[in-house]
Amino acid sequence: MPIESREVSDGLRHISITGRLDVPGADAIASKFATLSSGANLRVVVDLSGVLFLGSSGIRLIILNAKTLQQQGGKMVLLVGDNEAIARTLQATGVDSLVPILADSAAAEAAALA
Amino acid sequence: MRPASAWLEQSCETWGVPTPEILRLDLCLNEVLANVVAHGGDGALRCPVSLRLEVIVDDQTHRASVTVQDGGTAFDATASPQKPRPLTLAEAEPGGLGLLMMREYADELSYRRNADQNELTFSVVWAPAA
Repeated sequence: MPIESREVSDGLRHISITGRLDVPGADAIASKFATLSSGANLRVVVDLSGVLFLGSSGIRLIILNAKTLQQQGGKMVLLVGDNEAIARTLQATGVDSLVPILADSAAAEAAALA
Repeated sequence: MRPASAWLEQSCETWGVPTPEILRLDLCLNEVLANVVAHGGDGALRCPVSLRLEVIVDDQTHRASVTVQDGGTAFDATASPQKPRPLTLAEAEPGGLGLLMMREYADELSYRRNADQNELTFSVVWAPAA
């Protein structure tokens, strides 16, 4: 599945997205991503380290769901691991000034809970 | 869209385009095709979209260009003014990123309206291997 999730602890969720986040890829995960991003005071780490390709439709989903979480009292953090290509795209589009981006999993969880 | 991306990758590899440049072209192609679908209207979806790849590799020039031709409503993706970057998540609108990405990843970007077709060309240029 291109999108999976697990509950790390109460109120902290880890979502993993893999594969191509082009137009069809974003369409395929949009509904589940939205469902996983709704809930009050929910802290979410979105692991993008396995994303092979990140287009604007994927970025759009990230921003939309980050906003939803924030509006409901929660927070989204992005985990990129050593995926430099994805990190570069996120910086080029200014996402890094809207949503925290971290390379390390433990740091990402700490940032989500901060 | 995935077949278009596969065609691009295979064709570029055949013609010796380096992998980072192939990725840049693939990202731009995804954005251009997304715009054709989003802004082209019925006209865009009725006619086939044509893709042309041109690769020039000689002593002085290493360039790969892709031209996307579609029969949709006249839409110049290069003419939209760049919106200012939002400062906060609350202000951010999820749109307008496609053009930003094309400008970031393509070295050259141009548009012309040819009869009833949109033609958008994006190019990547790379240094010859030492």
